[in-house]
Amino acid sequence: MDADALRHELFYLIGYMITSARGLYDEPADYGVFRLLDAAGRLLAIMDSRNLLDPFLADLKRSIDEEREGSMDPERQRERLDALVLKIAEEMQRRV
Amino acid sequence: MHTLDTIFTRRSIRAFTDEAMPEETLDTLIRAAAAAPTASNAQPWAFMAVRDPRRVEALRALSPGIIGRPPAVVVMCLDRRRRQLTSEGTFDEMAWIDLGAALENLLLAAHDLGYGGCPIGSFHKPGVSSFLHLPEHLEPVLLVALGRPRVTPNAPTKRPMEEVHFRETYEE
Repeated sequence: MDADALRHELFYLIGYMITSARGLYDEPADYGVFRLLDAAGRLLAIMDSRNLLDPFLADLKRSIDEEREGSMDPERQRERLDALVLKIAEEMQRRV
Repeated sequence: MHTLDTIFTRRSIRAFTDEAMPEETLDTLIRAAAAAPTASNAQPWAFMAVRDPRRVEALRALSPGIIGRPPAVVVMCLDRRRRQLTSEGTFDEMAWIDLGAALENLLLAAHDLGYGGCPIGSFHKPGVSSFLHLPEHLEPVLLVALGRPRVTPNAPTKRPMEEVHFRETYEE
């Protein structure tokens, strides 16, 4: 049953990603950043609904949600994303 | 809320609570939208309210501009049959302005009632048209994600008034 529900939710996520890919031909390049962040946020939400988030991923979800939900301010987003990638890299190092 | 307070405190809301949006509220918002000024009283619009969570979920997939999980979406359509022809035989561009006025009415009414919304231009028009069974003469122009605000963003920076407001004649 949960496999059906998961398949359903992932189908919509895949639909979103493909629609986003098509839309980016006509949209400002910056939108690509939001689309990828939003896809990551949607995937983390699916994981969260199944209690699959560990503390690091839960924190990552909070950071991404803040990026998605605030007013669109691309000026300092590059720095915030740099910091996020460095945190992920450190976490990857810890997990290897 | 006083009208000016409503205007100055409205924000684009992208994060919503799970609270469902009553059908009567959506009816009121759409009545407000349809009360907007419209050139020659053409009313070149149609509004489709979507509340069924399964349909909203599909719209989220077809509309990458919808960031949060809104409990309702209003699809604002241009009704091509009601566009006016100019004397040159081209379409009157006022229809777009009419839709913009309707959008603002809808957003202000939502804010006044304690709801919030965000207009969405990033969506796949043929996909949304097909999914909603829109007839040929209705072109989806904007989606409006609506619901109770979960996060209200700070006021965005606006251009200084001296850059946009001139008195009597234009002066640098």
